[in-house]
Amino acid sequence: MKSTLKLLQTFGLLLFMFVFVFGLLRPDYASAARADHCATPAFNVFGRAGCDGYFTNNDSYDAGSDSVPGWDILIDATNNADGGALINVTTAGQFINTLKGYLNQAGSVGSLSYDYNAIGAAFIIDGMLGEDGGDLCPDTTGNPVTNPCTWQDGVTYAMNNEALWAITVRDYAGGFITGASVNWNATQTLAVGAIDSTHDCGVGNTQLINCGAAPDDKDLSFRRNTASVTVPMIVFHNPDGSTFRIRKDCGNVIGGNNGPLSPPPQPTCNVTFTPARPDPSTPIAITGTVDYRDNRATTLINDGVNMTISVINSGGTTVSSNNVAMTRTATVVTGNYTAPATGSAGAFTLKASIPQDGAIPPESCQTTVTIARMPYFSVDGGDVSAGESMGVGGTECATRQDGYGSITGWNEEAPTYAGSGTQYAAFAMDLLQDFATAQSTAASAPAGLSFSNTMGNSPGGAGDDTYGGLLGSEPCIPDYYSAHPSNPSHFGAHVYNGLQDSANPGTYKTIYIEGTGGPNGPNDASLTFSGVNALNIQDGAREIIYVDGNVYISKNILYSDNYTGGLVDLPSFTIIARGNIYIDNSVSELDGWYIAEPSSPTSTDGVIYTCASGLGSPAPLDRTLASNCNNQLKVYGSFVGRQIWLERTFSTLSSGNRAERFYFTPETWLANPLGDSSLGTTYDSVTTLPPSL
Amino acid sequence: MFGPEPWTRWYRRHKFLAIACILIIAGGLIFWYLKPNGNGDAATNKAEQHTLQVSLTTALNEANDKQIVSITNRLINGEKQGRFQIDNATLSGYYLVLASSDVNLNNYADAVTAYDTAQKLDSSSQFAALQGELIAKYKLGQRQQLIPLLEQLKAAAKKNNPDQQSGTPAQYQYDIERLQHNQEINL
Repeated sequence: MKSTLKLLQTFGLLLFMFVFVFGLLRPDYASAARADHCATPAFNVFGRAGCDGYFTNNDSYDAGSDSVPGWDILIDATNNADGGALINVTTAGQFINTLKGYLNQAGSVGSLSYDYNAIGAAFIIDGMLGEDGGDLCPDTTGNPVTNPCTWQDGVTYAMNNEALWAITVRDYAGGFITGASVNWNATQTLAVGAIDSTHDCGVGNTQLINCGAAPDDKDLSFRRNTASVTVPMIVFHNPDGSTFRIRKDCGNVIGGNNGPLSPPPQPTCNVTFTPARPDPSTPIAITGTVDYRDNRATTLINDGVNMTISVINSGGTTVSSNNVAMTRTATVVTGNYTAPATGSAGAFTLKASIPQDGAIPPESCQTTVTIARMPYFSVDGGDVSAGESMGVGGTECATRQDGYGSITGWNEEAPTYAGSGTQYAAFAMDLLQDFATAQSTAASAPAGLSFSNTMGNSPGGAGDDTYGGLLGSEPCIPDYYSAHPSNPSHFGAHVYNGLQDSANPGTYKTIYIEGTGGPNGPNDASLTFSGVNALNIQDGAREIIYVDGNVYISKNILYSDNYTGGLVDLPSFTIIARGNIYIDNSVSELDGWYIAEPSSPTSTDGVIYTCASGLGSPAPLDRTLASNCNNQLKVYGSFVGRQIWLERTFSTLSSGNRAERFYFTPETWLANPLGDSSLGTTYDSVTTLPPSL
Repeated sequence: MFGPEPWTRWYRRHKFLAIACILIIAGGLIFWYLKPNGNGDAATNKAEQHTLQVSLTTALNEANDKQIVSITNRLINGEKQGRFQIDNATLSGYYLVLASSDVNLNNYADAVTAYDTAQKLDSSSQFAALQGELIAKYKLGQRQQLIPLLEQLKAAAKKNNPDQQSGTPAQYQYDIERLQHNQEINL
């Protein structure tokens, strides 16, 4: 008994030692096998370390005989159970359809069910798209972190990006991406240690076997091969020299210098239109251009696919639209549509769109355009200047020269330079913006008689809409008002009834309306006109009205244009206001000189408003101008003021009809309008000398 | 009895022989020392071999078959000329990738030769070589010659399939039977 016990003790000791020694050794064996597959040296593919699951990032290595349970990423249960998944694939279409078929075996997004081949296909597609394992969850769910990620995320990502992937594959196969290509029938030998990919879920000899419940059992990872093999391969050659390799016999992705496929170049889409500044009465020529930056457009878009070009108003309503056939070059498709005039002003959207056509995704782009009338003014027979100093209160050059004195209009710009401008010269301390000079000489427009016209803001220079200006200095405007008579003829508010005297042609009649406080007294003098009929200035009348205040002109003031008596019959009508001149919108023609001087060198009056509703009521500068000031005004004479506000909105640039048109007619100066006594009533002779300004 | 030591006696008798030996040894040492080309060639060869091996890795990664063929041929020739030191297993690997690139470049006969050489150099390359040879001969249209290869592959797979996803005995048998019935196989 004792010897038996001793024997058992000895046996137990030996057993303990065996177990102890085996226990020490076993981890070494296991870790050596793991190192063969998962490290030695360490590697990283699809953003995961060796043997770490692509979806879950869990270590998917199982020690033992089942260390690599699912050798085939894809199995072909129909043809040849083990292997052959992509063996017959030789075209992009076959490749895409095969993988899509596998992928769709999982069902649809939102109601996915596990399928061995579906997650295998997702693994391939996601990898080809360059989706690292760590990005799957945030890219699929939109959440920054989702842990753990699952196979559903991988399948969902593949399904969501299937179209992009398919286009990319087609682009590679079609040679549409520079430096990219596909070899559908490569043969490659993978050496020992080559990085191959596996399912963590098992597969039997012929069919799938059930996978475990652990999340990482439904995952895939990269592992090193422990033997060399020679296999058929699909090789995607990337422009950067890297490759994406897939074994045709099993769908395995091969690691090592594997780069994701370069995405297809993103198309660029543009909408352009002419004219650049359309108005409500102008048809708009719209061009939609999509540059796919490869020539898929010419090969894949069907001939029957049209581009839709639309004009949409600010309320979202389509004003006009047309489906137009597209012209094609190597990489560009173009559609043209001339939309009818909108008939109304406002902000409009011009949109071009191409529907999805097969593998080519839909494309659209738009631009906005402000459609507005561009009322403009012009000057015939004379010059224009801005920024001069003015004489005030008997002091010459009392106001400072205005460095911001500019002349601004609307001009058609190149090539005709029609629109705002003058036949002759223009002088400005600041810019002549969209206001051309020398319009009477086509070769000289738009800046031939601009002062100055030598700086870089001429056409082709700093801006296409500035035609000179920035003149360093200009002569002063005389103080016309200071020539008023000594004694006022009227005080306070005065209604003008027409006091021309035709009995003595050439005789000057002067009216001087003074404020109630006497000369230079309180500025409450004013002049208005009675009645609605035009004030007809009789032939030979020479009238000058001095007003120590504002003037409101509510009706036309007209010369007869029929001077049967010759020069002596030329009429002259001049208003000189020490304040503002307001011109009613109903006034369509004014003949004569209209001068508005500021009441002091620093005051802000001395403005002529071409649209007003009453004395002291200029039209506000807002959208009501369009309806409240839409009559044309013609001026046969001249305006002089500290500022001229051209507020008429009649017509628009494209029509050729001016809102305000100034004619510096001969009677303006032949009649000696300012009554210079040294000149007498007539000129002895008149001649023209160069320069013609 | 108390005469000169034996080595002294020997020296006196063979003085010239000893001096000659010393001179020969010294000359040899000087020659060895002054012969830099010997060491230099070895270093150059080693560097060239390393450069080619790095280039081969790049070419393999890029699947650039023309480069692979060019580089492996230079490595193989260098080994034949004794300039490169390459063990048989590695050399067998070069023949394998050379052969596969030959397949891709439609040089099927060359590929078959290279696959055969790979097998001979290293028995562990047998499976990969047989797989490649199967493809090369398939491309050559040698359908009936595929059967012995498939038999070998089947046997190898039964014995020890090192790569379970690259073919099973059942699959090889399936292909054998199809060929025996003059049917096409998928390769």
